[in-house]
Amino acid sequence: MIPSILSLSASSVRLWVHLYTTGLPASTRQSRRAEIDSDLWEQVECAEAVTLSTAVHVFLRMLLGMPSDIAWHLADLGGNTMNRSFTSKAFFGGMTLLGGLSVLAGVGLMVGFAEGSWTLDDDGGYGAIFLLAVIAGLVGPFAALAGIYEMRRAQAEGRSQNTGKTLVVVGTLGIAAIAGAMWWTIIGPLLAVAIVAYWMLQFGGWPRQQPPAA
Amino acid sequence: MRRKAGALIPIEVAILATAVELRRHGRVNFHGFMIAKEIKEQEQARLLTAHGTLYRALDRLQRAGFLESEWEDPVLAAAESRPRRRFYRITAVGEQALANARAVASVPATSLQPRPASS
Repeated sequence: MIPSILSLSASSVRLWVHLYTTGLPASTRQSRRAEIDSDLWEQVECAEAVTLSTAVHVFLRMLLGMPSDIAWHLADLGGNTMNRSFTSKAFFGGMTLLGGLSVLAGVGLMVGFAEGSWTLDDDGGYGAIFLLAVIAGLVGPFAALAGIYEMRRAQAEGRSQNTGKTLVVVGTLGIAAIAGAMWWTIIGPLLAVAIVAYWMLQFGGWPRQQPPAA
Repeated sequence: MRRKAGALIPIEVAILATAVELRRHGRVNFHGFMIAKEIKEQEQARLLTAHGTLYRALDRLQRAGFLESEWEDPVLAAAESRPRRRFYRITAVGEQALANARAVASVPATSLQPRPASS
């Protein structure tokens, strides 16, 4: 039992290291992964007996170090434009996918309502449709917001704004689709987006275009 | 709070001090877990330094030139059926940085007070 828990702890650490080193240069990534692997081995080897406390200790070391790991990742990423661009692509790729799902879910709902497939269940509720609608309603606004952010960033960096525009279109379609089917599900997400947008504008989170060098 | 450029934070001082201590006992090279274990014993802490805190500090110290590192020969590690270790050692610049940090820490607070104007 204890070895299984220890193995689970060690696997959690490895998974976490894998996650936060993703997108970093290969040498940095491999080096950190190998170093943590060695550390895990040493800690288990050094323990007088493998007890539950060893497993908890391994897990706690990961948990307590997470803020530093994230800070280290961001610092390393900040110094490497190529990798920042890679992470950016991965992020916006994911958002586009989610935006697409939002559109599909919204369209599915509209078609379902139009054909009369979606009806209230015996309790007067919407049952499973509700979950689908909430998911679709949540994703659309965030995809659109990510698109606006990407457009601003592309403008600041002098890149093509096509990715951002695509996200805005996909996200807006998602919002429109869900709004046509169950408009009230988007009130919460829209409020959340408004708060996030306000916060980002207020605290300078949006990239601004650099003035041309004199 | 942003720290001053070049200033050492407590974990970095602890790493450098432990590195000097280890060298005094004949261990010039040390790996991450070894230093975490030494720090735990010296500070009589209940837990080892967290992975993130430890390796981020080691990374910063190396970038600053206070430590240097090299990977162990893979044949040695394979012979002992364990992962390769990354060995660190303190540099002369690191020792100087530690001495400076200790000097700053030992300056009594009163000496930093402005002197009253002499009449």
